[in-house]
Amino acid sequence: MKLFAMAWRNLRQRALSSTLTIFSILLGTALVTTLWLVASEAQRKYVQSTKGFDVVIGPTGTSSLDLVLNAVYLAKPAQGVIPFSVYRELREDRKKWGQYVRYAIPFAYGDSFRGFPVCATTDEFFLKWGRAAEDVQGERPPDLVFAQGGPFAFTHDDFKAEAEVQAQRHRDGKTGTEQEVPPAWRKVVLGALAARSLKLGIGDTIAPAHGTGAALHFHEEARSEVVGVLEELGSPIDRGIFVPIGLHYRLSDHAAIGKLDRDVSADDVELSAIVVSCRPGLGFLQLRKQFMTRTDAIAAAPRIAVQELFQVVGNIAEALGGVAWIVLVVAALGVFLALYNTMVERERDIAILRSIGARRVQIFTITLAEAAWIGFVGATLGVLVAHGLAWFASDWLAHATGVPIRSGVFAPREAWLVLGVTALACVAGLIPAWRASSTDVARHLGRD
Amino acid sequence: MIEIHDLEKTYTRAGESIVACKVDELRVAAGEQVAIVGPSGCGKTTLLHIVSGLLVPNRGRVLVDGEDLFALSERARDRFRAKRFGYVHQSFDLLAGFTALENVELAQYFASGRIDHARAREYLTRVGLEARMQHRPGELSIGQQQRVAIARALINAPRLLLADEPTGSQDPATAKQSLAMLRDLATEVGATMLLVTHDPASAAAMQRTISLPDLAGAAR
Repeated sequence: MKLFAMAWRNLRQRALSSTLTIFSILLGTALVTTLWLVASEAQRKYVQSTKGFDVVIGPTGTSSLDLVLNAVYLAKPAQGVIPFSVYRELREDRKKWGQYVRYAIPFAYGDSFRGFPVCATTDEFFLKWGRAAEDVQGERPPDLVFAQGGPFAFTHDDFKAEAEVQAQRHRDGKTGTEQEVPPAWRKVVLGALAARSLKLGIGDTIAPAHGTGAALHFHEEARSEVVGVLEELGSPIDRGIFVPIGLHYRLSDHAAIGKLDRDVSADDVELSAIVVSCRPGLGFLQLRKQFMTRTDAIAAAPRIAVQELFQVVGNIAEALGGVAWIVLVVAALGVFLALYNTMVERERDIAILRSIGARRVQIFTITLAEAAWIGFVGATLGVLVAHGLAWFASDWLAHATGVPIRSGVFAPREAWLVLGVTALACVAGLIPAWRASSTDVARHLGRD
Repeated sequence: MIEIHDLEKTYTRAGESIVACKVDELRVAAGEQVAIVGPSGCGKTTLLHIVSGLLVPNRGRVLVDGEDLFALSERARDRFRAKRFGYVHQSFDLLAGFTALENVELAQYFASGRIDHARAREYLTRVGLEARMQHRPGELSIGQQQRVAIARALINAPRLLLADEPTGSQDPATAKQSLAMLRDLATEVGATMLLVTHDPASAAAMQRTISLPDLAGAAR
């Protein structure tokens, strides 16, 4: 029987005390690991989710971060509107924008279905963005692959025509009246998480809702059939419920044009954002530069906005990490107390070991090994518990934050954490080990 | 062979130096089985602790097989004890968290760094515990615990067997039987045996008896 096995046996002998001490280490380690897991996965996912979104065009008066959180992460309501004219210009003024813009896809937001955001767009989102070439960072976004069904049919030309229809309605003073919703537009594509959480599949129907709480209003007039379910991407798109953008303008409560003035055109139809894919080279910089001087829209670079966000969030994570380390140091103090307080009851055992030949250094090693076991087992369980919790909470986290956590991926630094906590426990065990090795043997064996 | 010259161990209590053990001269021949008797407090157990190297005397020399025990470093003395000595304590002192077999094997491990399972099983079988090897001390009777302690003390074929009141908690018949077993096994491995006892019958069973003087009230 080796010294480490003896140490383990000693811990089992004092099962309650050992379990409680291991539990305290487990808590500290789980806390550190959870923070690391959430922070690193969030950063990775947030950065990864910007792939394919070179530039997002949004309303003036919005911060870049708000725009990105709205348009890319579907995590915030739209903060305003931009006119159709911006979209038309990007698509049709080839002389001005053709050298910079590969494609531009419109989005309108505002509705939801049981907490999942409804995103109105054209079929180009699936056909172009979903088959995108490399973005300006040289990275390809994941292909949008349909697990079931396929995209709805609503093209750029359909959008242009609908904009004309909506402008005419406005000019005719029909804003606020019921509109017919063509059956072909009552189609919906679900992101993987939305489909899984809502338990919806091909052929099921949903009615988007507007507003929140008591003001929640279901658009029964637009009850739509699920025609496609996307494969899981591990990005905020998984939360999305995608509908034809034409449907968005036909819903009651949705004003296609906010102006009161009746002298409007299709260019005044409002949308929430435009996702732009830039051409390689200077396209990205030129596009952003052009929009810096405009008053009708702003251009945000999601990757830059997210990096700025994580500079702030990173500091918070570091501060929380500091708290977690304090918890670990307190747990290590628990190791010290657990070992030190049991020394009195163990002195006789130590004396017996010494009388049958155990050297002081071996007694020291056994006690230190007990501390190491506590640290190692507690830390290993802590890491596993953190990943287990992440696994249990992954759908909830993905729903709440748009960031799915890969609970099954273990980072190398978690191995270092286990080793570090084991070393910390060993340090905590030094004084008890020294005391154990200094036990007065004769005093604890028989007396005359 | 054991030689003790001018040995004295004192403790200081409340500023007073108290003599715990005092032996001017003592010789025990190799293989001899000697009883050490004397009134309570005369230093019998202290003498065993000193002879085993667990307790360092204030004065004097202890030679075991010609080796001056206290001229050795503590580490060397520990090794010497592990390899050459077997110890049966007053209350047998088995480790509660380990089985009978493991208690015996621990003595092997500390003596040589290796464990010979077959030999440990053999010794437990010889003391009649073949059916109790996997039992923990709490699951054994007092007599069975004592036999585990005997197997542990003799597993490394020690040159010197130290036994401190090994039959003190047993009825006379069991005590006689246990002592006979201890003596037989000590004879078999050729160990010199020092037996501390209050029991005249146990002392009488040994080849020679040494009486330690009463140290009550002795102070320096």
